[in-house]
Amino acid sequence: MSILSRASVQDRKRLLNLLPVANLREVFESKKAKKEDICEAEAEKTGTAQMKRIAEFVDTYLGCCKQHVYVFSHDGSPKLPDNIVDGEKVLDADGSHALYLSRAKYTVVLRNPLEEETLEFLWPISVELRHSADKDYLLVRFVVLEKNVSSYFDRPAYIASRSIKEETVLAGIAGDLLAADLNKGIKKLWHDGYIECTRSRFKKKYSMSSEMMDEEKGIKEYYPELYEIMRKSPLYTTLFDVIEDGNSIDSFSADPTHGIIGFSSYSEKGDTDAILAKIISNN
Amino acid sequence: MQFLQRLFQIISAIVPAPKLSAEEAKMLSGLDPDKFYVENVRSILNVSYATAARICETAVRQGLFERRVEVMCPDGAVAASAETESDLPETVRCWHEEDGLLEPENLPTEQLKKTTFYRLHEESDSVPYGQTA
Repeated sequence: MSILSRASVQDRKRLLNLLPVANLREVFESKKAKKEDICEAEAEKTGTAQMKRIAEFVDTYLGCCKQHVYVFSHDGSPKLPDNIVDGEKVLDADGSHALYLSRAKYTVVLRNPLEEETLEFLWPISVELRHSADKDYLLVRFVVLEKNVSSYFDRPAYIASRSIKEETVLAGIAGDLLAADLNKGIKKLWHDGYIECTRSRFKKKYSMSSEMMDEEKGIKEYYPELYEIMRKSPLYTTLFDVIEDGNSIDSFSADPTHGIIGFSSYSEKGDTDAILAKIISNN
Repeated sequence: MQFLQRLFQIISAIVPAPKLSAEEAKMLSGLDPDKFYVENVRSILNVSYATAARICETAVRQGLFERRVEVMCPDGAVAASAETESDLPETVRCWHEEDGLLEPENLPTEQLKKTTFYRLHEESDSVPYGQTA
């Protein structure tokens, strides 16, 4: 928790700013109109209780953020790590999942006039142990940090470099584990009509093939013969539309063969969790 | 086969019927009545691109084909289509790959490539076989 206490108000503000405004307003019961104002007001508060409140808030609503999820297979022996690269554990729910914050530093190039600045983020990362259908999984969920950094400055700005990347963090958490192959779980959802694929790279016998449907039409609906080929092929970078009514996720991308899933938009609480749970329980 | 018959009538109206072999006629049935390009027509009829384009444009003037335009993302994916360029949305959603995953981006349509395609006009059934252009 001390990483939160030691952090500057700006760092805590940027951390809260990663989460959806609707969740911020609901939890912190703020009547402030602007997201920035809510984040600032909560970031300025100090004390252990407030740090705990922020950690619990981030942990509860991390699933609503833009995120990258890495799924690994294991034999049941891994435990949640005590620490993380350039960061620390800030919340341990029940031994089955924990929230970590890592300090990510951007080197930013500003224009007009040319200048170099640094921008720091407390990067939320969740690690979770799951057991499903006699299989054990470890999930690492990264909140996707803002790529457009111009909003943090008063002029055009570009990211020149970043101190820490997802693969660096993953090496520390799951260096010895195998990426879970999620083809089975994802294809079951596709077959059941829960999701539909609109573009994909997939492996044929002698080639890596790719399909990008016009106007995001569904492969299963418009190219049933191709769908049958893809059902038997390892899928790589693939885009899925979520067909199910009531899920706020419009689409998500995945690399099923390497156990990676990406949610590129904010969503309502529980919706990314529901998709992940379905994929894993059917895998 | 109904589409083949209809398309055969349309092509025959522009290119004299004897030029269409049975094999070409069979291949025409593979065209999607909802969407085909000049190149589809050219390759089936084994004519030049200019001739195929003339066939398509003549068919449009006669009300047999509909001309439409589609906008392509930088990776070649078609993002949207419309009757004319001005009917296309101002921005379209494209996707690009980052570290093995796909990220969306909204791009201005005017900066992207457009392609013309055709579809069979719904009422082109009424064209009498053997009519000339």
